[in-house]
Amino acid sequence: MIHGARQGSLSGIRHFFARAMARDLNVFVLPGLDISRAHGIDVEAAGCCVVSSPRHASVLLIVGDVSPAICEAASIIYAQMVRPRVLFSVGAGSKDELSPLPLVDVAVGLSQQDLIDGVQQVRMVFENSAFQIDVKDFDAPALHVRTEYVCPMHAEVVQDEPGSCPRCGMFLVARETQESAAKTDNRHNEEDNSMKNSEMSSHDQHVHGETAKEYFCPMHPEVVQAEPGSCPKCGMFLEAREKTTEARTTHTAHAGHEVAKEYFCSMHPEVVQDEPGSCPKCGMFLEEREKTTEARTTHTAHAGHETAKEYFCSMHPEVVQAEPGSCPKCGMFLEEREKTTEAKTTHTAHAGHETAKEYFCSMHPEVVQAEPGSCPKCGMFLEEREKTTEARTTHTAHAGHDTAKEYFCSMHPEVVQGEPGSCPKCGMFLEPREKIAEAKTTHAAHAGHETETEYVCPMHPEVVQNKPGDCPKCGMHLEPREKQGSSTHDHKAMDQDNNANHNNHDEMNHDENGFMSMVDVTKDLPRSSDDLKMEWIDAPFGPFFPGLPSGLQLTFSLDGDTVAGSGSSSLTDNIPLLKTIPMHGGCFVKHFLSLDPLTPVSSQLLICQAMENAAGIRVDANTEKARIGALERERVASHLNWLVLFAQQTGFSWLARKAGFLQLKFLNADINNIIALKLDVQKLINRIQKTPLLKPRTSGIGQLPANDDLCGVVARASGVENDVRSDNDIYADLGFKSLNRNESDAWARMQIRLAEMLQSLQLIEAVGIIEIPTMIELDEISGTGKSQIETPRGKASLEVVLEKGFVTSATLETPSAYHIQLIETLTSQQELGDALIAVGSLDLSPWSSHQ
Amino acid sequence: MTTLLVLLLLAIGVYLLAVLENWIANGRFQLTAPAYSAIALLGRESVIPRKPDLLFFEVGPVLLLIAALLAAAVIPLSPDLIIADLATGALFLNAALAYILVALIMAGWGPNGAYAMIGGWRFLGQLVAYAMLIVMPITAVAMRAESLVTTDIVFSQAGLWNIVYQPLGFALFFIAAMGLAFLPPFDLPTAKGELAGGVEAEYSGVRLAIFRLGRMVLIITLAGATATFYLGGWQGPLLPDWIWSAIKIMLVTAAMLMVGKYVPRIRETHLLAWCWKFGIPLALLNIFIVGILIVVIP
Repeated sequence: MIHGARQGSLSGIRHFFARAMARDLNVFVLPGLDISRAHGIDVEAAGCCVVSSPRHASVLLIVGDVSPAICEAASIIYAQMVRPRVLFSVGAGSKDELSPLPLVDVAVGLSQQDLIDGVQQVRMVFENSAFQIDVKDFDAPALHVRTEYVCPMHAEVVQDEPGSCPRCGMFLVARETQESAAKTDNRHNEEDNSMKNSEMSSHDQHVHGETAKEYFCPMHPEVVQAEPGSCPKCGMFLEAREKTTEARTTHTAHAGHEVAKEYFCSMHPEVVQDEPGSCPKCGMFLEEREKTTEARTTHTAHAGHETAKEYFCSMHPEVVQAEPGSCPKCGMFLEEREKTTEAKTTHTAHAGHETAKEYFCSMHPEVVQAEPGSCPKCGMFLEEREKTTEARTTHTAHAGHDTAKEYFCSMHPEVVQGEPGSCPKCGMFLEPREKIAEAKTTHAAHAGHETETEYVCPMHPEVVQNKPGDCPKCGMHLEPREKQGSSTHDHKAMDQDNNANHNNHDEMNHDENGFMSMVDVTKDLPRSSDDLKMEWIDAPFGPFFPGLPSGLQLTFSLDGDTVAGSGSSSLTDNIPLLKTIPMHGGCFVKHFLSLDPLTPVSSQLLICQAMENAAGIRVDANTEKARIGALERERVASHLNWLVLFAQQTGFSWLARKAGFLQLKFLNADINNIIALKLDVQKLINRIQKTPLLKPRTSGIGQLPANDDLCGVVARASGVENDVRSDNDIYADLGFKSLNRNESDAWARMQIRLAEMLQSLQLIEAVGIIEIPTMIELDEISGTGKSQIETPRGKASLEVVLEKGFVTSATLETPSAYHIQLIETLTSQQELGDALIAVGSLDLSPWSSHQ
Repeated sequence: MTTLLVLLLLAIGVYLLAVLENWIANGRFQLTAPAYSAIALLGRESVIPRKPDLLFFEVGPVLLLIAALLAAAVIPLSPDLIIADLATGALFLNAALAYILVALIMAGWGPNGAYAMIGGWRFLGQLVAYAMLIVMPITAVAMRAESLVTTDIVFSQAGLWNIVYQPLGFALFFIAAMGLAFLPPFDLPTAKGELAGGVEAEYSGVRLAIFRLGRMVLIITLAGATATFYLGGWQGPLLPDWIWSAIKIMLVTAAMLMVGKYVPRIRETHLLAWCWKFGIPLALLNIFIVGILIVVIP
């Protein structure tokens, strides 16, 4: 136990501790108790105490074959366990087969007796090596995480500290990345097309990850260095990109100097400069074009002459000298021009400086101060301009907060906000106007109270509120849209905040002690359904969460304890059906059966029927009946397994123990046992029906609209008749009738499962024999085989194409593949406990949720 | 001296509670299991999560233990066996129990984790539900005893125990006590299925031992309060009085633990709705009835 021991020498009181630890085994089961029960392993009966948090566990128990993805997630679990900790594998491999987990301390086979022997060995391990003098630290690649901050819109903007994106002003989002090795960047896939800005959307080089990086300045592409830092020329933070030598030809705003390009403003064509940036007159991002000589006629800034030259700074045109050099004010290289006498009125934007000056940032026009300095947001040197009021009409950065003003973009009138800034679509400075109550053109964002508009974040559609503001997750300005299905909102409450759309912290109401009331802190946050504004957290639930199916990875965006958004994926379903094409028939069968450990009999039946169908073989009625017996037995066991998960989720410990006990009995019971167990199941169901608080806990939770794509219990609970068994003659002979309910909530689904258990027991009794289907010989068989069965979770269908005993194609449809997509709607705006019960009521199998 | 004796009896009670909990939860009756468990916990690492609020993280479990002990100080095991025979004993009990909330909020906020924090906030909601239902039945009990001194309350039950005199108050106090001790079905802050242990999840080693000890002292204290206020304290034939106290306390504890085994966890919305819409009117009704009974019965 090298990695798991605690540091120290095993003597004196530590010996005492070690012996106590040997007797107090706290076990965390991987992938989960439902899998271990499906294998027939009862962990509690072996003398272990099962815990739900890895920090309380001292033994990591891995049951059954686990994929590398599970091992990687398990390494994070192992790292959280407190030392001394033991890695105990039951049928999962031995020694170093579970990398990146450390060496297995105790490994036994997959059976209950082996487990009991293994537990004894684990106790010996604790007693003898709980404390060791030399201990190695556990290290795994999954644990090497580093937080970096990236702009959701511009994936190449990456910093090591939090801040705002220099391009669009959005908050940089923290992301944990591996320190080495290429990892795909999720942000690329999330690029949202709703921010229609042609200049901005073309920045799609991914610049971090695999290859060596270099850092360059967006305004001065010739400034390149190997480490992050600030541009020596303008002070902006350097951006990262891959080390490439070929020129980046297209419109990246950092095009490089291999091709002579210049940047001009589309609204003010006389404004031309050599580097990208913002137009000093209106603040728009400059567009690129090739340097042409005839284009120079109207707007010379860099005409290039042989005649007497002088050198001036494009940011500070008053700085003129006869030799090249750097501008003393901002450090930029001075540009060349002919010695001319006429005032360069058209393209200076900083024409007269006799009057009072102020300094603003060309990227963040709201940043204005009286002295020169650096912009706090992006680090650029601030530019100078006159303090004039009429110059403000087109590009005011700071029109002031005294009267109720709002700022809109003249090119995009729907962009309206409460304080000055840049238009997020085109970067222009917003113009001020009085806040007027009558409708401001077609889509004034502030018409909110007269017309029914709501404000939604283009990147996070779940963020919705009734007033303009900023998205609490990304900082972007919320866009207005018409409300569909209006509801009356409380105008009084909203009107109080009419002027107060300030995100500036200084504007909030502090009392004398510097405290802000929660009303002020949460002023601009969207309201959830219970009208309480709270902080948003992204919390993961899974993949080894107690009460949820093992392998299901949920991420909830929690608004307080309400689920505002969710994402779900499975850790265990990315194994392809066909490992090689074509695949040998026997190997395919073995591989297929290993995919879903929760319902092995259903998988066996599915593939046997498909292969028999391909071979054109029909089985006789008795075999079919025996197969039905096996399938129904598995249905009972599966529903009992679900009951245990449900009981764990709702803290109903008696049900968890009783159902678990029965499930293990059912797993391999023969026909006589089953008839004896029928009474126990009946008693269990009666007891459940009489349990107080159960109906209020589940009624009305997890409502789903009736939908023909649903299958299995979920469909039958919402009134959709969807049962493969209804079409089967043998079932009809046995008196089978599909069970249906209408309520379509968690309560209905549970009732259907209980009723189905009784029905299955009756069917087994009627059939009288149980036999697991056996596979036919697959050599030399060619054909297409289809099969459909009603697994405990719903209809599964398999289609295989065989060519001389080799499988050339296979398609599998499982109920969980559709149901896993329902999680989003099911959990939206639900309280956390209700959301989890809703997810649990779907009875997902993350092992077979390929999409 | 009496302090030490009471604390010793309290410790024995806590140990028996641990045995009882293990028995009810797992079906195994092992007298030595809690001892091994405690020693093993002390021998394990105590891990601190990343970026915690260290003050709250450390203080949370300790405050839980201290608040529970303070509340236990006014519970009489016999007329002489009481740590602090305060003139305002019943009120002091309630005041000390108010700090349980503070301790749980600290334990929720400190670890800087989503599960713990939600657990902490849920307990805040739970407090709003149970707080009135603890105080109002105590008021009715004190009305009968015409005193807040806990020993007087027990003496006042000499003829008839309060459980018969004020059954409504007993039912409400029992439920509210389970809510305060976050026992199932009110175990919202430490929900195993919903929050993977919630408030308790981020503690390990010594700190977890203190947290669990504090929680068990709290359960014993509340059982003691129930026995004192409603079951006649130490009164009973034949056996010495402190043994009767002990028996009653353990029976109430067993009842509290058993209830949770057979029902699922209550929804937070329902807890708040029912306690406020039904619980408080019933508690007021209880006070009204007791008031009439006191006037009518000599």
